[in-house]
Amino acid sequence: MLVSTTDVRRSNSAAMYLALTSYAVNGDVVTDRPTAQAVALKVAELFKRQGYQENYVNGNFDDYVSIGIGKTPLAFIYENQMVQFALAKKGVQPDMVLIYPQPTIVNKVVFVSMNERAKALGELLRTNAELQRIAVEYGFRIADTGVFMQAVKNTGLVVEERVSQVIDPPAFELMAEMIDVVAKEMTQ
Amino acid sequence: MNRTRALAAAALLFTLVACQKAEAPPPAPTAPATAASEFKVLATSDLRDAQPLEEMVAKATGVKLKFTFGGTMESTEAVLTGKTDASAAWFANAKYLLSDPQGQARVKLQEKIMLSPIAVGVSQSTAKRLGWDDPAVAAKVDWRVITEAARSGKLSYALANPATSNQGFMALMGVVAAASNKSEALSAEDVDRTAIAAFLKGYKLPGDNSTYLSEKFIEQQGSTVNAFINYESWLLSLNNSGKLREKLSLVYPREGVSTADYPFMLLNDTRRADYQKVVAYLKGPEAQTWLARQTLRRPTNVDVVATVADVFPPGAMRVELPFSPDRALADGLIDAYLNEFRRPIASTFVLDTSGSMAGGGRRAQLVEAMHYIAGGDASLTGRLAKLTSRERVWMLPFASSAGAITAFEVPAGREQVKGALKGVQQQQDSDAKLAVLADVRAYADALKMTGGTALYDSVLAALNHMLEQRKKAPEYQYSVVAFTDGENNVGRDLAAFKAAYAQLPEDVRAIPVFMVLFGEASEADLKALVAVTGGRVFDARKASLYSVFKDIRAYQ
Repeated sequence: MLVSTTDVRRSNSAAMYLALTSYAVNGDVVTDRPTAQAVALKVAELFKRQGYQENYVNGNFDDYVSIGIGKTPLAFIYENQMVQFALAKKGVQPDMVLIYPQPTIVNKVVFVSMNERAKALGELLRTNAELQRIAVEYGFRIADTGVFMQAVKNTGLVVEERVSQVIDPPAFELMAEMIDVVAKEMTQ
Repeated sequence: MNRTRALAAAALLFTLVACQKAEAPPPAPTAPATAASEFKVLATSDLRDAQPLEEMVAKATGVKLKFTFGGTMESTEAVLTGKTDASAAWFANAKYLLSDPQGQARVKLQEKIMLSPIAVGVSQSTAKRLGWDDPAVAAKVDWRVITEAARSGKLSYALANPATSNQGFMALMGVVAAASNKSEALSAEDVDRTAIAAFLKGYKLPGDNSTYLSEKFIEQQGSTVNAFINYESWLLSLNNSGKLREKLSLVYPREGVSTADYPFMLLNDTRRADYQKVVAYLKGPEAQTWLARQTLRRPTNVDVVATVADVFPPGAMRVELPFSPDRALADGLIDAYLNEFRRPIASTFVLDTSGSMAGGGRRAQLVEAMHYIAGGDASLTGRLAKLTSRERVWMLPFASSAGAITAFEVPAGREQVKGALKGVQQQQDSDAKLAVLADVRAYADALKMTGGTALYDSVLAALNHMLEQRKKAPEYQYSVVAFTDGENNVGRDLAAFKAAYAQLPEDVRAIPVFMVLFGEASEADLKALVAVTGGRVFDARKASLYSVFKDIRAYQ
């Protein structure tokens, strides 16, 4: 059985799967080029054997929801995709379960302000209760974990309150290197 | 997609690869003028039954949806090359398009609308004979069992052309996966040629599209065919139509089916707002319920699934066959199908060389047509229209009477792996093949136009010629293709032709007559002729040479 991802050449969530599997194979975060190349070569099969991969962020999650176990028994997704689904549908199907890899990677959505007005907006996004509530609607965790947990609780979906054992992905250049290796393997 | 809107201004910390385009900031709102104009959608022909959506969408959203239907292959090529003015495309399966970087660049947004797995519809009596009427046995039927039933003559099926349609191609892929004992990461070397040949022994009703195949299947069920491989939706529709001699039992091959997921794809970014309205409607309960109940496709909206569950056969989990995006495999398989596996084509080209053909650029059109089918067009579509290896063509020019016949036979492509049982590759034309193609073009160049038009006499002569040839080589698929401006003025008239045709042996009916019409003449008589002989009239003034020859090929 394979974990289904999006297309690693085009989508960040699949790149995070590559980061995690490279950690698992290497026993630690990859920190140099030769290791990056060797490890990527090893895990390339995890991508190649999937055959066609969707190249939009919700691609594998859409299949997970609508086609289900026959096509996508395990989908590697952002937590927010499943939480957003559960909130919108007020629940999930009985066979849908969130599993957290250990360790995992937390994607921090960062707002970079380029001027004063943007800075003010950034501040609002961070502190305004209404805006933070909307972020939760989209399945994101916010500073106040309690609000997040309370919202999800009503859906019946089980989420981890605190995601422990978090690693960082390899450095940008090394990630790019690994993606190149996998991409090359995939076209062969 | 929704997430995008909320965080359009946010940047991901780990922006390692360019994320898909749905995450790009939306463009400036479009001018109101475009809102009123048509929203053209290039759709694969199996979506013809969804055409009432045009009106439903207009009513619900105000967007004037307008479908243009085409085969999977030509539609894919139209999007890849940008040779379409459609604002969106809607295909049963767009995986080839979307695994190509150029295709990815053309598609701005995509959303899967509905689902239909490819299944084998087996006449109930045949299912009983094979033991497949027992659900426990049916659940174990895989492509290997299907291939064996086809090889031994127990299963004879209708299927859309594997070289031009998704259903046909995916059926071949199922056979390849089963025979290679792996479903993942198939490559061109994995193709078991013996298995393909065995499977194709049961291929008795070819065709270009599901509408045509359904009509023919209704006529021929129980005589030439007892199974239909197609999308579940078309098979269920046939079962519900009341037109079948007996209903079909649906078998879903155990090791994997391929499910059409109907992505609706935005091509023209300036129509993004309209696109989003249409998608919201298509994924909403009204359209999803209509699609499920009327066209028998499974909803992707999970809220609708339970309410329409009664429409679909209940069943266990169906494993999805991974789709191999390997172009070498696809191209090799299609080439092998056309040049080696399919029943080879033998046809007489009846060429109008009368004086009237000299005018109005008609001679040039005829010569161009010959150059097209004997030329070097290596595009997706060109390969389908071209003369294929093993093909036999007899040229029968005529004017005031039928002229002398010249024979051409296209030899095999470049020797690939002689006698190899496994592996396919895209085929290069051999020197011998190129030489024959050049001869065909030279023959066309030398045609002189003079005299009257004994069209019906000449078609009759061609049919007689094909009957003779068929006695010598029954393994070929015979047809007559006439190129004419249609002004019959010498020899038999239509009534006399019909009388003479009635005197031919009855199995002449298996030799269709295709008319490729140039010039201004009326089509009425030609249509009356093909109504008797079987076949079709193509207007070369209105349709591209590709579409003419692709269609002729599909019926051959």
